[in-house]
Amino acid sequence: MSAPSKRRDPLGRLADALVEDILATPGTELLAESAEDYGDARALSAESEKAIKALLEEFEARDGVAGSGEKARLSEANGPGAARVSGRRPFAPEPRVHPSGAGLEQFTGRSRAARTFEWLAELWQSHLALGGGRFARGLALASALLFVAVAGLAALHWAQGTVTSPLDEFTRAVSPLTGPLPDRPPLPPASSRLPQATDSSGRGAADRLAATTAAQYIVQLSWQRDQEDAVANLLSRPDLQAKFPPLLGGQASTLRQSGRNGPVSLAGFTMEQAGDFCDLFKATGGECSVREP
Amino acid sequence: MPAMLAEVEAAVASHSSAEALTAVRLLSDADRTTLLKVARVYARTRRTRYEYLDLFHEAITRILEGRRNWPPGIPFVTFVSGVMRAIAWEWRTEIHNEHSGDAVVSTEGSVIATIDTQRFLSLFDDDPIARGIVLGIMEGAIGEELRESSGLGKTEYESKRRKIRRRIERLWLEEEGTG
Repeated sequence: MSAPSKRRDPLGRLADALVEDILATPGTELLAESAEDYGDARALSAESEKAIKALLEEFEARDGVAGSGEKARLSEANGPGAARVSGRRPFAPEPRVHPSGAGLEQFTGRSRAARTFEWLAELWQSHLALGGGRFARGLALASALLFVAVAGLAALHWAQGTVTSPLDEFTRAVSPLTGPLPDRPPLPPASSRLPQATDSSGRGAADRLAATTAAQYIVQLSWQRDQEDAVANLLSRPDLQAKFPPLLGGQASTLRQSGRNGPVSLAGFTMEQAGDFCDLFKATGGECSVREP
Repeated sequence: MPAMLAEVEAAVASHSSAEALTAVRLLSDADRTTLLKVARVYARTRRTRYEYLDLFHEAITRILEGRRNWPPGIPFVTFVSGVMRAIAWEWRTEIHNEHSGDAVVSTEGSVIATIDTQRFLSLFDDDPIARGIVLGIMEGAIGEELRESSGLGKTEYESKRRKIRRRIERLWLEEEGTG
């Protein structure tokens, strides 16, 4: 028996058409529909929040999520549908996999230079174990010289934190398990499409991204008329203005004075700032979302 | 080597899991409402053995684990919707494969699909135009072709499409006992 065909599936077509309509419907209308159906505009939103709360906490607790290009380290072992509500499993990361497919577990816990010296020492010992013949001793001497030369070059290389190739750069960037390098690696050139490397503070990719794509995000705000005072107070707080520079801009100033009840957009946030500010704004009862320009 | 480079390219050509996590965290009420409505559509029409919250949860899990890469330029809500569509299809195929060769179950599946189709159509017995649109959608008509065949203007057609969606949603709410 063959697998069901997507093309000859009337219900599948209907589903796609319904979803198309949902995606094309303004959010305010969908919220109004939710109010109509459940007597609460936020009913579905609250339900979804509850459904993934534990999941988000798990991921946020990990402090630094690997790049999404990392391939299926959990999925195939757990099988499809492993995380369903009816049987959600606790999150249990398996050894991460290098994009090339090679495991990275050997890179955990020790610096790269230390690993290299260990490897070279092992190589040296294996040469010595060859035996006591003249040729073997000559080979051992040559190896010793080679060892010193390579070790010197390696030390110089890592002391400078030089990125030698895009793959090297990528390896550093995608693997939070790689751990801090002996020295902070230099940032890739601005033209590079590769993600930034994990810095020595161990901060995650979101932070790296925030640093490299600074002030690119727009925060969209909306609130009800009865929340105007709370919003004006929030936007006027000196501590927040210091933390979120866009609050000092002309648009925010106009907003504070005129007291519009939204929606408005404030540009110039980093991703991290936008997220933090949205959290604060939502706490006042307003709506907040972040988008790229 | 080319395969490895292709993997590296694919990896850097998508948003990171950290960005996806931030995007999930920043979903607005409207975004979340949109996604649960989409989840309900796929869970109910696919007749998987799981509920729409399971579908939503599974999609977010796969995205955060990096099993589904968020391509740049695609709105996050659209992306999550696509992931849920794929998962719903996958789950339905799972059921299909479990009963592969089981003629009774296979026939039962076809009967259920037919009953669902009739059930949706019967919702519009009082509205021949809406019924015609639903039938047209099920037969594969799309876009302007579908609108023109309904004989409606653009605004009326959009309004009718919304009416269709709302009626089907209410049917599901009644069945769930929450409507």
